[in-house]
Parts: sequence; structure tokens; C-alpha cells
Amino acid sequence: MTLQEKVGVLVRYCSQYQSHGFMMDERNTDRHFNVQLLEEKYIRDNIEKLKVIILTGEAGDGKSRIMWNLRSLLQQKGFAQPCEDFSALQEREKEEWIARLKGVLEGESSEKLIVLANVGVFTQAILKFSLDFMEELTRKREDVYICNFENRNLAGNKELFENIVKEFLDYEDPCANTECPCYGTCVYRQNIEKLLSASGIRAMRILCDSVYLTGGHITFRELLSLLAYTVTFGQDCEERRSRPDSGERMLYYHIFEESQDILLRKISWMDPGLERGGDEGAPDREAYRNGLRRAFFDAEQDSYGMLHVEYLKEFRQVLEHIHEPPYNFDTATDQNPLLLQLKKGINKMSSQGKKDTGLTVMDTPAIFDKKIRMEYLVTQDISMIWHRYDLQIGGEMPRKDVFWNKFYLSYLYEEKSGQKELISLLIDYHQFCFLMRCSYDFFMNRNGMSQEKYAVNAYYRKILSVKENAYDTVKVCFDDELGEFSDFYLTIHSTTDAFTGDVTQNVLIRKGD
Amino acid sequence: MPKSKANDKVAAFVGISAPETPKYLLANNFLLEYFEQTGEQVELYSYAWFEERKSLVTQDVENQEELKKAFNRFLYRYLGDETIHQENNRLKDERHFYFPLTQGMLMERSPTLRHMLFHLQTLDDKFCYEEMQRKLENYIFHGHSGANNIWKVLFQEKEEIRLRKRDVKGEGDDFWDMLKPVEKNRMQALGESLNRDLDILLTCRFFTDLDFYRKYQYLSVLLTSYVLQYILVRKGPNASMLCKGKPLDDRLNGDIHRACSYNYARLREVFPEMMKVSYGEALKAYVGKKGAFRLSAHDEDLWLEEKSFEGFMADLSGREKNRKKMDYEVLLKGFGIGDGEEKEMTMKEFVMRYLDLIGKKQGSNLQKMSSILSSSGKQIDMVYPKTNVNFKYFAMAEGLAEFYVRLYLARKKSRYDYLDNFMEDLADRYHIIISKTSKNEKYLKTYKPLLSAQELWKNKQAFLDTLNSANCLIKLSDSGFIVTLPEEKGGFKLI
Repeated sequence: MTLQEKVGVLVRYCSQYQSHGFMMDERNTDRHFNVQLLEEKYIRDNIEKLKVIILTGEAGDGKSRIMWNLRSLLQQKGFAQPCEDFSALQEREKEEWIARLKGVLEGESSEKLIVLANVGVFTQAILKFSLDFMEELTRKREDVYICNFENRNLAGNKELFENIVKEFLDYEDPCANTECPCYGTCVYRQNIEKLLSASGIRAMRILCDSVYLTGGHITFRELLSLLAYTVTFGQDCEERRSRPDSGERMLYYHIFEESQDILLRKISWMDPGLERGGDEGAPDREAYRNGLRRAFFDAEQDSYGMLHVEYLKEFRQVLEHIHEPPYNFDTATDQNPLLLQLKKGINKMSSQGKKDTGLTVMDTPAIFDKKIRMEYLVTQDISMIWHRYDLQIGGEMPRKDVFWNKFYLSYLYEEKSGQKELISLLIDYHQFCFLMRCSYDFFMNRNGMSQEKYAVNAYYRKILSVKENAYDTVKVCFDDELGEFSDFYLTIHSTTDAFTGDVTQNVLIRKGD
Repeated sequence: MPKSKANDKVAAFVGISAPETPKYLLANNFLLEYFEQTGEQVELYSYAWFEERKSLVTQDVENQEELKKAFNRFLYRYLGDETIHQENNRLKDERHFYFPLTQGMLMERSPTLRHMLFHLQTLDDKFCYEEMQRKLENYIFHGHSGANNIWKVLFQEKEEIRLRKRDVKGEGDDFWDMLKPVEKNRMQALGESLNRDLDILLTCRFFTDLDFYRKYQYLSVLLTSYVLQYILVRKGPNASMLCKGKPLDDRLNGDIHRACSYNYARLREVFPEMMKVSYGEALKAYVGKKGAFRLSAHDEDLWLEEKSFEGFMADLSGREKNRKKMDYEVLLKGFGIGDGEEKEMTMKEFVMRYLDLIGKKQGSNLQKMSSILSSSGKQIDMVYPKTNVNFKYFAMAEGLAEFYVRLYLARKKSRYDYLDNFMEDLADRYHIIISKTSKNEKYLKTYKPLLSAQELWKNKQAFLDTLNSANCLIKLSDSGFIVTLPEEKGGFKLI
């Protein structure tokens, strides 16, 4: 394939191009471009023990491609006719499929099943049919493989990502059209060369990884579309020749330009051109911005910090720390500076910025505003851990090749039965930013209840509810500017009559610190 | 119930006469259907009150004065007196109303909603008064979780709860005897729904495990939400509340805003509509004729055939003589008649003109009744803007969305469910429409302008933001979501 032909193929992957629908056809007809995904490899390696395979995700995640690649193997291993689109089934058929799956999981059926589904539709059907079945499905079993592509990070595996970019963009012959006015200065060639270079692949991988880290998702089809757009900007050679002056604007680093396109917006908000640290001598703002964008693509090492994404670099560093054995870290003894900072943020948030140590939980009923608060003290020796998202008490060790974009802060306690339980606060990118901002004394509107603050409060209230006598002492705090009223403590005090053994209780009041 | 109110025919027909706000007062009045008032009307709890009962002690003698001042301020706020007075400035200062942390804090006040919620309950064939009493007692007066712990010691409540005795047979039937059978069936269904929801709220751990304040808040919201539901049912079988997914959002300023305002205005029309029917019936009975009658003006009054207009007004209000006589000149202008003239007037025209006249009058029945929709809606954060503007709309605030999620999951006995199922339930059970679901087509057709799929999609996105802010949402994919409780969110495992 020549460069010109390659551009002709690539441009059809761009959503901006008129025949965007081609991509759907391309999935089914273009069998030349094929990269074995990790999920496919896993199924091939474990096919002997698998009885149920469920692939869920959004359109474009690559489910059908995997199915197409595995079809003959599945037939050979005795799998029933697959359910290739669960979403398209009638309600009754959905129920039948879930019953079949349930039968296999409960050992009542010897069928082998594979289901391809949209995760939302599939979850809805399961929840409608049986809640217990959801628990059963999410319990790890050797004979069940559930892959939710929504949680997959294509940029997570360096080798795979490199493979996809090279397979997708590589072409055999240079352009032979010497008549083309762009011959010798062709932006397509420059863009492909850049994207195939080590720094180019790294930059694209970091971009996709950042989407994942910040809670987004890029499907396989979107990745191809993004690569295609970075090379062609939605224009084929003919269109390009009609606008010879627009060459500079079609260089790869302009991928960050503002756009209405849903996919491009996943990238453009991270524009490194909005950061500081560019060339002060740049002639104008655009040159300054382009310099920063180019620098991102030319960076010699991981350049998360160059993106215009608050605390992204720090978030990744914390995740890297937590994804190393032993996968759980005591909050009191772990010395990771970022986790210490995060802890400071939690303390400041929960104690209204007045203290740096100890955990005070505000449990002011929602009926009231926060002008008079009720605070309860959780003692400092409380045992809490930072840990990996997939770490469970008594569960198996987490998989090394999975890198989650979230982690937990958990309180470990023992129930009366002796069973250990966790109360957990999920820390994803947004929660992380919120707590970091708290730690650095950013202005926070403490009257409003943001989702993040709500989560932290709910977490601490749950801890309070399992701690004995936690509600026996309350500090009543006034938020009045004039300082008219003093804070005070109320504490339940019990007295036992030495002679009768009767217990009486009253409340002691004393002035606050 | 004061006699004058009881005899007010219009109010009796509408079923409600004026808003009962704040919502905590509504809950207070509702609880008094089941429990005796045992406290004093002017009870004022204070540092001294607790000190006298030896439930509050201090060794910090040198700061005692300071502590007294701060503690009393705290009491004023946390016993509810301040909140209730702030939200209803018509309450007199010498009367105290509290959140009923103890039975002694329940305070009688004339229920302007005319016991409507209680009557609704009694329409349900399966309703058991004693059982409801027992559940309410457990929910409100017992339990030590959270902040309750200290209050229980401070109040040292040891007395038995004094229950009300009541024969509830046929209460609701008498109350709504003027309704048509079809409408009465709908009312009965509403009563059943209220009882079912109450039963869930009073017994499910999603509510009962919470502290007193949260429990009381949810009870108040549920009861107030049924005031809106009542208005909806009176409006007709196809009435619905088109709700913005978020009270304020730039995405929702187009057609959805216009449709929401239109929907609200249509619902508000139920009051003049009901009054029209009621006045029409009253007029027929008063004049003793159908169709048309002779209207004349002389001797500083209007005359309907041989009977005076003043007598008609007194008849309507159930009093022997109407307290405020309407200005003669205003009457002449309002009914388009000159002094000394007489003309034939249809019943319909007379009622229309009469409604026009009283509608403009400050503090009229119509104004008071119509304000129930906005006042009750504002109380549960469902009607916006909260200022006194003409064009209002329904919207889902975070707290209300969380309440409906909690109630739905409690009913389902599940810690989570798929968002679409929840939204379908909102539409089916409460006629609250936010986006298109598989069954709400009939409601969508009634809105003006007709809403496009794009507009409804935007509204759903805004609602997702609201649920997310209330920490009730788990994202499965770009199009798939799960609703859950904030405290259960960590426990959900994705596929």
C-alpha cells in the first residue's frame, strides 16, 4: 500500500469524514488489519477450563472482532451458538439466556456459553431477573471469564499499544505522485513518521492513558479514529491539494485544537499548550502554545505532567505506589509523600481546616445548614489502609497486569462474630483532586455538599456507626463571625449506684478547646 | 377543626384549603392524628429546663454563663423552633413548634390541609390504624442512632407514649363523597400508594437505621410529596409533572424550559377548575334553577333572582354572614351590570365572572389554594424558581432525587438497580417525567412544545448530574447507569 492509498484508508476512520459509517463495515470486512488483543489471548490460553465467556462493552470495543477471530476455536471446543448481540434480543429471549447462564454457573447444565453484550443492557437484564445472580457473576471463578471492555485501558500495555499503532499506520511504499504540489512536504508523511517514532507512540499512549486515568474510556474503534485523525485531520489527498496553505495546521500536534467532536473533546481539554513553561521568546500566543504541544510529542520520558490536567502526574504516581506489593499500606506508617498529602486533605476536609491531625467527623443532619455543626471524634489510632481496587479480604492476590484508575481508603474492623470487614472510600481521579485541593488550602465552599465531600462524609459516618460509643461525645461548633457563642462538648456520663446497682445517665457540658 | 373551615364548601370539595408549611409542621400535624399532645403549648426548652431535671450537668462553673448562652442557641436551632419559624413567618412568636424528639414536643395546630393525608390513608381497605400507630412510634420516638443518643439522655423520657384512640371507619368516604366514582377510585389508589410508601419508610433499614433528624426529614418529604400527588390526581388521569433534571442548568433553557413551565401552569389550573365546578353546584342550589337566571342590581347589592349576592357568598363560606362585603362598584363592574339594571345571565358566565373577581382578591380562597402547589413544591425542593415569579417549573434537586432513590430501592428491597428501571418507576408511580421511557409516551404527548428526543436526552443528562452530585449513581458505561444509596456505593461490584 502506498502512502496515498494509506491516507485514503485512514481518512475513512475519521468521524469528520463524510463516510464515517465505513468504520462499521471496516470492522467486518477489513481483515488485513488485525491485532490480537489481550482478552483474545486469555481466552485462547484458558479455553479448556472456560464454560462461560461474557464480553461486555460499548459499540466499537472490539467484541465482535474477538468473536470473529475465535469462532472456529469455540465451535471446536463445544461452545453453543453464541449470543452475538444481547441488546437486540427480546425481553423473553434475554431471560432465557440469563437462565441458561445461571444453569451453567449452578452446575445444572453442561452447556458452554459465550455472550456479547452492551454492559448497561446486560446489567439491567440481570438486575431485573435476579440480584443474587449478579453477586454470583462477580465472584471470581475459574470457569467464567467476564471481560468488561469499559474497564479496559488500551494504553495500559505498552507493547500492545505500540503494536496497534504500528499495524494500523504502517505502509509499504512512499508516495510516487511527483506531480502532487505537496510532494516532499507532505504532512501525512510527517504525521505518520512522528506517530510511528518512539516519542510519538509514547505521547499517544500517554494521552489515551490519561483519558483512562481521569475516568474516561476510549474504545478500540475510537483509538483507530484518533490515530487516523492525527494523521489526516479528516482530509484526503485530493481535499488537501485544494488547500495547499493549510499544511502547518494539519501537523499532528494540532490534535489539541478545540473541537465539537465527542472523541476529540476527550483529548483537547488536556491541551499542553494551556500550561506554563513554554518559550518566553515566542512571537505570539499561538507559537507559544504550539511549542508546548510539540514539546509534549517530543518528550523523552513520561510526560503526564505536561498535560493540562490537574494532579494527573501525582495521581498516577500514587497508583503506581499502590499497585506494587503488598498492595495495601497502613495510613499511619506509610511515608509516601503524596499519600501523606492526601491524608492531610482528608483531615482538613473533615475537621473544617482547623486541625491537621486526628479525624473529626462532621455529622450535622441535612436538615440544618452548617452554621452550628455537630462533630464527633474518631480516635487517632484508627486502623486504616490505602489499598488496590481489587484487593479483598481473603481474596486471591491481584493480577499484576491490571492497572486500575482508582483505589480505596478502607477502615478495617472486626464484627462481633469475629469476621473482618472493610468500610471503603473509593478514590478515583475526581476524589483525589478534591482531597489534594483541600490539603493545599484551596478555597472550598464548605456549605455546599459536593459529591466528593458527600462520599467522604458517608464513609466516616459508616465508621462512626460501627464504633462503640462514638456518638457519646459531640462537639457543638458555631460558625458565627462575631464569635458570640462558644463551642462546647456534650458527653454522656453514666453513674452506677453502689448500693442498688441502678445506672443513671446524664450529659456533661464543658467549654470547647 | 374550626367549624367555619369545616363548613367551607369549596375547601371541602377541593379537599385542601391552604398550604401547610413548613413540611415539618405538616409532619407534626400528621403525627397528631396518631398521638396525643402531651406537652405545653408554650413550652420553652432551655439550659435551665434540663438543669432542673438534672439531665444536664457542668463542672465548668466559671464558664457556666457562656455555656448557657451557647447551649440555648444550640437548642433553639436543633429542637427545630428556629427552622420552623423561619420557614413560616405567619407563626406567632409565643407559640413553639419543635421537631418531635419526644412526644411532649408535638404541638397542636389547625391543619390547613384538612387532614387530607390521613383521610387518604383511610381509603385504603387494608389500612390498619393501630399498626400504623405502632410503626410511627418506633420510627419517630425510638432509636438511638447518631445524634439521638445524647437527646435521649437529655430528655430522660420514661413515660409511655400516649396514643390517640380513633374510629377510622369510613372517614375518607365521607370526606370525598362529592367525588365522581372514577375519581374516587383514583383517590383510593393514591391512598394505597401513600400507605405502601409509608410502610416502607417506617420499616426498611434504609430509613430506620438513620438518626432522628434524617428520619424526620424523610417523613416530612414523603408526606409533602403526597400533597403534590393529590393535586396531580385531582387534575386527571393523564396529569404528570414534567421535571427538569436539575433546577438550574444551561442545557435546559430551550424547549424543555418552556414545556416545564407550561406543564406547571396547566397543573395549577386545577384549582380554578375545581372551584368552577364547586361554585356551579352551589349556584344551582342557591338559585334553584339550571342554565340561566335573572341578575339584577339595586339596593347596594346584586340579586340572583330574588336572593342576595351577599347571601350566596355567606352560603359558600359556611358562615351566616360574610365577613367582608365586596365593594358594590367592583361587583357591578365585575358582572357587567349597571345600578338599577337587570339581565339574564347563564350560570357558567356568572361563575367565570365570580372567579375572575375573587382571583384578584388578596388572600382569597383561590389564591390560598393555588399556593399549595408552589409552597409544598418548594418545601421539598421540587418547584423552582423559589422566588415569587409567575412562571414556575418542577425540577429534581439533589436531596429529593436521593430521597426517591432511597424509597425506590427500599421498595425493591435492593441495594441497587438500573437507572432506567428507577426512572420508569418515577413515571409509573408518581407521574414524574424526566426523560423518555418505554411507557410514558401518553404524558409526553401532552406537553407544549412537543419535546424532541434531543431535549429529553439533555434533561436526562442533567438528571444524571443531579444523581451524581447526591452520590447515588454508578456509571457502567456511557449509556448504562446504576442507582444506589450513598452509603452503599462502595459495595457495588461491576461486572
